[in-house]
Amino acid sequence: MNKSTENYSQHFTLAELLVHALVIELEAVQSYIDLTDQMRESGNDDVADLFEKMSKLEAEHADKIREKAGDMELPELAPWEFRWSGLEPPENIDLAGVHYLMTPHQALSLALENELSAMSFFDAIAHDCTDKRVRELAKEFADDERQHVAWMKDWLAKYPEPDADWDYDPDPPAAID
Amino acid sequence: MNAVAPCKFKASDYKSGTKPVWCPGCGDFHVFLGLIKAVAALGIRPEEIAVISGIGCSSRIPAYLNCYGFHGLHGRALPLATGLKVARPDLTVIAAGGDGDGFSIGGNHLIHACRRNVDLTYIVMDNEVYGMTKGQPSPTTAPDWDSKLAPGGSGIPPFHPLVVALASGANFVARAFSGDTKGTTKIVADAITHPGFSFVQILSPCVTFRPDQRNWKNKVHPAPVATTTDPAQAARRVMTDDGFNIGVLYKGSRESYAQTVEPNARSDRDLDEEFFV
Amino acid sequence: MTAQAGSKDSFSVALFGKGGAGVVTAGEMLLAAAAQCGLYGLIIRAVGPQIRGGEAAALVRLGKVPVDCLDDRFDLLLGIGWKHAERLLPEISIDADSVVVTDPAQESVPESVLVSGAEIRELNMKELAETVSGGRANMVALGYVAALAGIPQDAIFQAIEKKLGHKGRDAVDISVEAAMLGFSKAEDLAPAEVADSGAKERWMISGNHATGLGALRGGIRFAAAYPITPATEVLEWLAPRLHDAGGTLSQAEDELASINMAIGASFGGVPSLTATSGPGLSLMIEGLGLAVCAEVPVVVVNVMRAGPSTGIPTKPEQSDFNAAIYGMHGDAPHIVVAPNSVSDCVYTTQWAVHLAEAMQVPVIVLSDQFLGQANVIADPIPAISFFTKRKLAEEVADDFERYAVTADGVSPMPIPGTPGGQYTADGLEHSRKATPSGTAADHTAQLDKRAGKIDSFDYGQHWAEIEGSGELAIVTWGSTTSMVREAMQRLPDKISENLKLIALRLLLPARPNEMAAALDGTKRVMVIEQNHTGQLYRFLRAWYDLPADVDTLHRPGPSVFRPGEIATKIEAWCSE
Repeated sequence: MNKSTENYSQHFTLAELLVHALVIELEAVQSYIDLTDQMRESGNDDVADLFEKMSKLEAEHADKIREKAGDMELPELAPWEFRWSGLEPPENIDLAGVHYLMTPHQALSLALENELSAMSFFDAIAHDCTDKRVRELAKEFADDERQHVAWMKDWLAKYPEPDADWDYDPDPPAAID
Repeated sequence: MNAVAPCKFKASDYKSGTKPVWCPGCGDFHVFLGLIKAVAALGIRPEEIAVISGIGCSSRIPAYLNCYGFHGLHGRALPLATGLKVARPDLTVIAAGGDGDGFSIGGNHLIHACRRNVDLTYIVMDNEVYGMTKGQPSPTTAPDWDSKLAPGGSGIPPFHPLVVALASGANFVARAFSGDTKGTTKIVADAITHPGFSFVQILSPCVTFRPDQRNWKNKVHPAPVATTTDPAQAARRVMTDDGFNIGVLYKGSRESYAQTVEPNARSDRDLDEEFFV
Repeated sequence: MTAQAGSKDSFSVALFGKGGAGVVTAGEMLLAAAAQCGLYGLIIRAVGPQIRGGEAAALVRLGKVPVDCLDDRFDLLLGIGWKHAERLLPEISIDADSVVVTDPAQESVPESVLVSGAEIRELNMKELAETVSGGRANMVALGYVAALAGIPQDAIFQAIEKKLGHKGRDAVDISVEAAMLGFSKAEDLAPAEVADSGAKERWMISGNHATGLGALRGGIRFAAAYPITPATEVLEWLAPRLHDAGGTLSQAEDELASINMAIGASFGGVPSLTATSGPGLSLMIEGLGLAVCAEVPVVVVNVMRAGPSTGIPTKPEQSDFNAAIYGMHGDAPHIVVAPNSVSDCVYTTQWAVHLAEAMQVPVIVLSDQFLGQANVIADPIPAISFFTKRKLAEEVADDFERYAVTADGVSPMPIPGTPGGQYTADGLEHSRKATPSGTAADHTAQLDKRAGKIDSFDYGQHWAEIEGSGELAIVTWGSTTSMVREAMQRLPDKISENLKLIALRLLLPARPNEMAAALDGTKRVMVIEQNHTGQLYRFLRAWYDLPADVDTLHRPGPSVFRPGEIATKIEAWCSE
């Protein structure tokens, strides 16, 4: 799966790292906002509230990264010019895990996966990058994500695992067109 | 597409704010994301884009965009889009819909839209099912897929829409996967900028009626060969691949649909002239 | 004023021949020559079932006053041969006053012709033609018939020149020589004295071409085309001329595509049209419904042929009335108009464009094969201006509502490209803001809007042609109008002085007030139309208050009404 993105982590400039880090958060914010909307439309308020919290957290994280970037001019990259480790930015929710009846535990599991993949994205750069300063900044970002991972795990522990029939809906789908 | 477009627009500028009716988990959410990112990156003004659709889940997309749109008849997005683009060549016209809308009732129009090669982009969100009407086989469904309408499976094998498009003269043929937003964004942007009829099949899982498609993310892979400019070669590849090659599969160099003769301005008197005895 | 039967004002000739004989060409030259002399006229082609080589007849009527229909009978029937004549003779009525010209070298005159009591004359067309190298019998026939019609030789020569000039000098000379031979044989016979020396400007035009002209004048700049008999000529005429006018005609893969292409182009702000016949209209019905709901203007011309289903493609009928009026599912108010003569095809089509654009609605124009494919000599058709202007939203405020409920029901339409006006046109029912809606309030509001905009529009005088006055009224529409007009002129004064004609141009929406005014003082109504089930009659009964005494004359195609049969029916009706 990663064949085409091998060695993505070796060559990053500082500015590139910052813009990637920023976009990860901004995309995550948007992703969580979209999911919040979807959950609200489905009447799944518990999970909607969770996603809404998540979007705010990511927004804060985005602000921190902007601060770190300071006055540095960040490159304007087209969406396809970003070098992710997989198909998607690390914190984009895997839609396969989304369901209108999903439970908070599942929502947090998805969020945890995101943080883990963001963490390994930065870890790889911290390890592989040829530029020392970039390695250092990447390590900072990786550590931030590690922190998030820890928070997610704690949070997750507060919610029960879903029941076996968590996705049972007695009503059939509606054909609206 | 090498140059970076000046970022005049953000992707969110293209959202109308209308909440999609799609089931949470639907691949179409990510197709939508890829589409708005693509047009934002290309810097096309929202009011100069028209998104034209038929009927079905995927065909609901125009209302979610802050562009001009037409939610038309089942299977008839392509002629609607064709008439619009021919009359208004200044607009960026994107036709969209699902596999039932596009390949079944709309199948004939697909062939002729490819032939005509009007400069527009056609995005089919393929989930191998009629989702809106609650789960019937479509022209891309496997023959053994069980459903109420075809218990035990239809027994009819799917066809190859990309091969048909190539045989019909489409100038750009690509396959994408909704879960690969980056790839989808690039492919859609390429499709829009490439002249002539650009056809993009986007595999977009149906969370409600095809939960088995959850594993598509593990099956898709970049096409192992480079884009070709030979339609026959592209057709052979697509006809013999595993159905999960993603990428731009064919880029042609046909001229876009245009009038073949120069206009000859006539006055009203000239028009009358031919009737005088 | 139309030509009177059996008088020196009207001369009807039928030319019959097998495939390759060229009777249609000869007939067209005769008509063109007549036009040169300042006459009016009309030509209809009748053909057998083959694509090539089948029998054909050119049915020509010439007159000193405008001719809009065939007479009851033919003064002259000429057969270059008589092979398979029985297939077309039922349309060619002759009697003891007629003259039949036959070639002794060809088949003998059919029994049905002999039985009529017509005078039989022999003309050795084949033999004469053969005296000119490359000469053809149809040119001999042309010369002979022209002489009998009182058309001077010069006019015939000009007509030949015009038609064959592109084939070179020799082709023209040969045909002229052959025609001269025909002329010379008729010199000793009294001409029918139809020729008029007054050379005024005349047009020769078919209904289909007139429809195209009306469309262009009305501002159509996009047409989608799928060929179908007998409508194809509308589109073929438009193809180069639309292009030259800066517009486009695109051929579609089927009628489903052509209606949708026209709607797409119109959504983009360009007045759009397509033309078809009954089977195509059936395919377009869904598309028309979309245009109604999304409020997109579009014009669909239906050149009606005999139905149902594939029907009789080369023959006229007025039987798509129901399909045009009632075809769409749901409550789908729209507009249906019908031209009542070849010339009127120009105005009515132009008017249709105007109505469509003014009200953002589909308009169906019901022409028919008789009008569409008849060529007439008419007075030049002057351009008139209907002020066709779509209500556009050019400056769009934040609270703009595409489907706002306005006083006249027409809401401004933003054209793609207009900043801030973005909306999604939809076949789904919608709110004022163009978002899909299934609420009772929105559905009712939009239904009221779409019906109201059409009902409240001021159609002016154009809704019908009303001629004459009296206690008796004939209601008709389309091509039947000219036959009714001529029938009315043949009636004795005591009847015609008490007889009014109401020829509807606007079939839908119904106009109860205007009709009530038109029928004020009317005690008896007769409805005349060419279909099997009396479709207009039923519609009138459903939508209008009619006097207690209503009669109907309706019959299907393939033969059009003749004035005589209508006059007979009216006289009988009046004597009840």
